[in-house]
Amino acid sequence: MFSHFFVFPVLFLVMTSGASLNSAEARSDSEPCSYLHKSWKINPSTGICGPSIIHKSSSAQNYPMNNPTNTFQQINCGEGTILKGNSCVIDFRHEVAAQGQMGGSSDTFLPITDLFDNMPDFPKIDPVQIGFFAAIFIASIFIGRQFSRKKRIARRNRKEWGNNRREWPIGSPEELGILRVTPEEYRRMQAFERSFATVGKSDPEYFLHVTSGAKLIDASRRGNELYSIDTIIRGRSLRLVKYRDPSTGQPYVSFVPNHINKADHGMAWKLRLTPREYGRTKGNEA
Amino acid sequence: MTLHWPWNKPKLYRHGDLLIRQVDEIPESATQLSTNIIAHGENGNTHKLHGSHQVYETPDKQILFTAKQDVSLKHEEHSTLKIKEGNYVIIREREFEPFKNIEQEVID
Repeated sequence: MFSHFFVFPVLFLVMTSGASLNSAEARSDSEPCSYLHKSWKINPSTGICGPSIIHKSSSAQNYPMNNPTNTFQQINCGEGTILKGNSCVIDFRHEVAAQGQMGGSSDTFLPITDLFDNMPDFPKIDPVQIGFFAAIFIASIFIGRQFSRKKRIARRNRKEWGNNRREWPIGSPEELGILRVTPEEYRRMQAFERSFATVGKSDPEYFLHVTSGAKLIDASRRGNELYSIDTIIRGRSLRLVKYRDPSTGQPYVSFVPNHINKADHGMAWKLRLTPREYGRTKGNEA
Repeated sequence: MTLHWPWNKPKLYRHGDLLIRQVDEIPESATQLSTNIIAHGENGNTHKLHGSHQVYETPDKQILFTAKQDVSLKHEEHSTLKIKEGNYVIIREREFEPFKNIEQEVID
């Protein structure tokens, strides 16, 4: 789970990435403002890239001008372009003519231009910049994990209980399986043990179906039932077998190990028998 | 360990919290007891044998008995159980203690 502190690194990433795009689009003075028309210049007054206007006192050099006011003004449209009216257009005439000479036919082909040859390079990515962003990303994950729900609960428990242990061992250290629980789970265990000692012994049915919230896993033909309780300790399932006294029919509940998944297997475990042997006790019970 | 034929498996009886399992013979280390009680309950109730029998106890407190003929086993809270002639060992029911991760005997 990511916390709200994760928002700041993400915002920072978004802002810095925009700045990098702007810097990538900037061009040096030596580069033309248009790679299609390399002779075009940026008009200083408007800031728009367009054909440069050259004021000359002499007559036109390349193309004759049809200027009724007889002012000496020539528009240099640049390489591969011609002036038509008052605008510059791309001149395809020489390419079409060249193709006609090569192919020997008079068919008109679509003009071939070098548009894609002059495509600008993509901006180069700085490895230092990538490393910087990667460091921010990893740091944001680390910060997010520090404020995860699990660690917040652990910190709160440490503050409440006044010790540095996150979990409490139950049982002596000599035992093979030491159960480790949180203080909250320990409180639940104590309440459950009290409930089992009182209600569980006197009214097993009420204990199973009302108090404990046990779930039925298996029921056998011999009337045994296996229940699971998963709400006491997180990640641990408590198994209870309910059986009836063969003589009186009175129900009883008893804990069995967690690995048991069948009600009759639970009874076999209680009687120190194999499941097959337990089957043979049928008819010899009282 | 003696091999038993499928039709001649050791007999198993259940009487309340007791399991009575047939064995081939009584161990030599077992000593005779002059009683017909094979188990005591928590509330003072007892499992008693009626009929021709002999009760034994091993050094590790294991209770066994020999039924010289068909005998009856009685308890105040349970029905009477008929047991056939033979040697038997008494096994107590057990229960699991989930929070201590241990098992212990059931005494009713």
